Amino acid sequence: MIQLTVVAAVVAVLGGAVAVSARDTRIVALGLLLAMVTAPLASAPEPPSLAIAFRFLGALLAAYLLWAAARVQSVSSEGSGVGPTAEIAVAAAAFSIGWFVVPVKPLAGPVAAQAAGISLAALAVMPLAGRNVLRAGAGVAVLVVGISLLLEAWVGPATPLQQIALTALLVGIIGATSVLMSPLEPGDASVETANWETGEQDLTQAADQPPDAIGPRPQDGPAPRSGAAPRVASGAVPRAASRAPSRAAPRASRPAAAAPIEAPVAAPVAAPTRASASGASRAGASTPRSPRAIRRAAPAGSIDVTTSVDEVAPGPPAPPAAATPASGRVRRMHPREPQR
Amino acid sequence: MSLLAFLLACGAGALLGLAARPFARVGRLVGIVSLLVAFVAALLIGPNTSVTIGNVTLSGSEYSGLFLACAAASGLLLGVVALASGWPDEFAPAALASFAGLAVATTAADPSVALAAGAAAATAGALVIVQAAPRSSRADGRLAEIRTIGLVAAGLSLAAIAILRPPWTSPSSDKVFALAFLGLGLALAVRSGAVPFHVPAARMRATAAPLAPALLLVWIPAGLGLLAVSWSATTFGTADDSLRGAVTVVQVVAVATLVLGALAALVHDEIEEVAAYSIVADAAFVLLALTARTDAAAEPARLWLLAFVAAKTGLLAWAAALSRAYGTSNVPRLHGWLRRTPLLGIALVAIAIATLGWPGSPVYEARSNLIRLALPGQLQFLFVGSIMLSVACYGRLLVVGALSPTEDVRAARSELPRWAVRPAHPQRSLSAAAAASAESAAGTSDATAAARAGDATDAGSVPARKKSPGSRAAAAVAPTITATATNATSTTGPGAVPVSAATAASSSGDAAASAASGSTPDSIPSAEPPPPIGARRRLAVVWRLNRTLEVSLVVVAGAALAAALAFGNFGATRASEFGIPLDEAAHATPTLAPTPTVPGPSPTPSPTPQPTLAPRPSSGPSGSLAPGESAGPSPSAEPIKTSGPARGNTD
Repeated sequence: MIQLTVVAAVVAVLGGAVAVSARDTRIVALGLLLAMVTAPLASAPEPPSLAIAFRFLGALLAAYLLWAAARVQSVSSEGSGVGPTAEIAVAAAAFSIGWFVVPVKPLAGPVAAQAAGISLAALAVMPLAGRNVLRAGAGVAVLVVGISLLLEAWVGPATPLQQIALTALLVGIIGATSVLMSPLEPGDASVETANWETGEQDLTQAADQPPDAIGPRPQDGPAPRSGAAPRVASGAVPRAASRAPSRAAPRASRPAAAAPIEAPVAAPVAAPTRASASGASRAGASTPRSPRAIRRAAPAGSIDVTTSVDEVAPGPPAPPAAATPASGRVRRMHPREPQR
Repeated sequence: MSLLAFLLACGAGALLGLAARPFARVGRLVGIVSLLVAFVAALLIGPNTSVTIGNVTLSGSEYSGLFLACAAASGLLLGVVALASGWPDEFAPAALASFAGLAVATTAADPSVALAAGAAAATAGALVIVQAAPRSSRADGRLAEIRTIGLVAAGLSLAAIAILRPPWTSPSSDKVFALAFLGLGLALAVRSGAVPFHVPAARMRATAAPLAPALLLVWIPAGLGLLAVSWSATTFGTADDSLRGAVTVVQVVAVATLVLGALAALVHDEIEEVAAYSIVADAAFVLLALTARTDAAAEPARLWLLAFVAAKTGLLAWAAALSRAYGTSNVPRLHGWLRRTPLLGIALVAIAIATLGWPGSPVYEARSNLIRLALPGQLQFLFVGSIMLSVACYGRLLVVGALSPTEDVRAARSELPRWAVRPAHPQRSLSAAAAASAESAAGTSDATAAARAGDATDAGSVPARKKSPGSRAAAAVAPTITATATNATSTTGPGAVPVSAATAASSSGDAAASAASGSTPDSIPSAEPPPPIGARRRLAVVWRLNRTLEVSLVVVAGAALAAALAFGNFGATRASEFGIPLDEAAHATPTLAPTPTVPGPSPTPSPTPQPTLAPRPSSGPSGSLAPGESAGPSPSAEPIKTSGPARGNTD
């Protein structure tokens, strides 16, 4: 017969594995919720129902904090560095070790709690070594859940006040993570490196800047190869794209002065100003489309987003025919430093 | 009841403060009132205070009440200073949340509860990092903060495992204790910005909200240090090689922090960095108390923690007041600050005395004892070295203040009260000034109109006490008036030049208003003498307008209280003798006897000894190193509550 503690321990480990390996913040929040809800059930004897309810409410609050922060800021984790499969393999190996090793005898709690605790602690190592705040925060939360399981296995079931303190600690950690993560994070080092190498820019950040903040600078890096269309960094677009299309609809009727390109669907990538980026960018479709999909859908030669970026620089309005030659140059858009 | 009131005030204040962030005034009001209520409630916490939650009792003690009152008063002091120097919205909620966690940690007798609450208190520091959004990953305070939070949580959790002493199957559990000690020490070192981990603390000026170092480098590390010291003499009092190695690592960190932190405070040129490094250097004494591992270090450590919290908060308040007064925090640009703001000089001297003391004073003896107990004899000179470096740091600031004032310092408003001639109703004067501007625009201006405009604009230059629509209107009108007055003086000749100077300066704010020599309204040549103003009215006007004086007086009061506390007043010396409930629980926890070399099938702990209460007499650094020393009879009292290894172990 399968015991509840074993099921709870396995589910907690799975939740931890999901939390440290997922890219989508909502899935990270879901994994943490699973781990935090099932962890107290892995102890024997079961804690009082009031304590379980408190832990459950705390887990819900923590997951909501993370989910809400991700919804507002459109933050994505960079995901596992070794891949979800490797993470699950590590978790399984650590679970097995924790199941058979006997560091404490007699155990004050179930062996499943010990195995889950060691497994979660092993899962938390790699995120803590990374440079992603969301992953690090998820790793800290998973580590604390794991240590709490170890405490329950080695020392005994937690007292109600300890359950409250542990819940406060977990809510504090995940709340701190939700506060500390920001939209600058997507991909962190990887995205920044890619942009540096290819000359791509996070157009969402640039679109938030006033027009005078956007322009060529003499120290700009080398221009990308001719015809290379700027890609939008993954995880950066959803903030602009996820806004309600109804708000953008009136702006869509404006003439395409800011984006003098033939196809209106190309505007999302090209528009440098806030108005054009948030409004005219969604002019052509009610549902946001990725830049790659836009390029594929457009007829060949009709869209040149590189040209469009150049054309929006301040100056005398160019005739529409001037937009046809592709300059092959992308201006790097330097976001303005935050004012204090 | 008072403990419950403290927890409620902190918890509700933190939640309401966060909820009221969009409403600046309400947020300030909630923060200040909550800190005040928490301070009053903390003053009432005593040995008879207790709250039972579940089956665990939170018991107050004299020291925990004084510590929490000191922390709440420090928060209140900084809050009042922040009202003038710039209110960070997240500061008060973060401080209140961390105080709530520290209150649970310092009143719980269950070590797992205390350590979890301490770790939860440390997470509140993330709120004051929210201001920073650096574009460079090198200065990313957010990553450093989440790592610090993780390290603190992991270190305290590991320490909880070691303290609760599960029955290990291994014949020697030395490595577990060494690992736990290392985790505890490193968590404390990282949170307090000890030298190998000092970069986030040094960059806190750029990556965190103003006044955030008070929370991140003073209050939270002090609370964690209090928890760590409780167990250093009992759980980590054994003498084995693994633990000795871990202690050596922490000792090295402490010594490096003590010396290099003080040196860094001496050479840096930003006031905030000087204050941060000074805090970091003095936090090394907490690490030294942890490495002493003797009961003799507990009392000086507790007293030092009180002085540390009060004095370093005072130093941060002084730095904020100085930066606010002169508009810069750069030391070379602050030459002569002491001449313009002598009260801040007095405050700095009081802070230095509260930090260092003099021979025979409690704080001096506490520092001396900590170094004597924690470091070997060859390193005792570090005490004198640390004193000299700290004196040099404070002396440098004072000497810089005594030099010839720079332009920035001259331009700022001093603490000296002036008998300002102010219009009774600035709004009415503004309308008069508007009329004068109309006259001057029509080419009929005269010196009287210019003088009126000067008066009006000078009144408008006064920093608004509150942002009301009227003040915004005044700010909107001010440039027009300034231009008008300038036009007027151009037609009236050189005799009215100060008017234009005053009005030009007044448009750039409070500091610039007094920058121009003779810019005070007294020197304004006016055809109409100002109407006589009564002494009471004058005093009220001067008091209202000289915000620098107000802030300086608050800082002086805080520094004086810190000095009094550091010298053992307010019951600090007596409270430091007894500690917190966790100390009693620590001494009541059975210590394992040296494990026999013959492995047994199920090694059992030594028989549960009778508990002893802190403080215990100790003969020296190794006074508590003998395991099982506490097994002697202790007829004095029984522990409040112990949560020994048998918790939940029904076997």
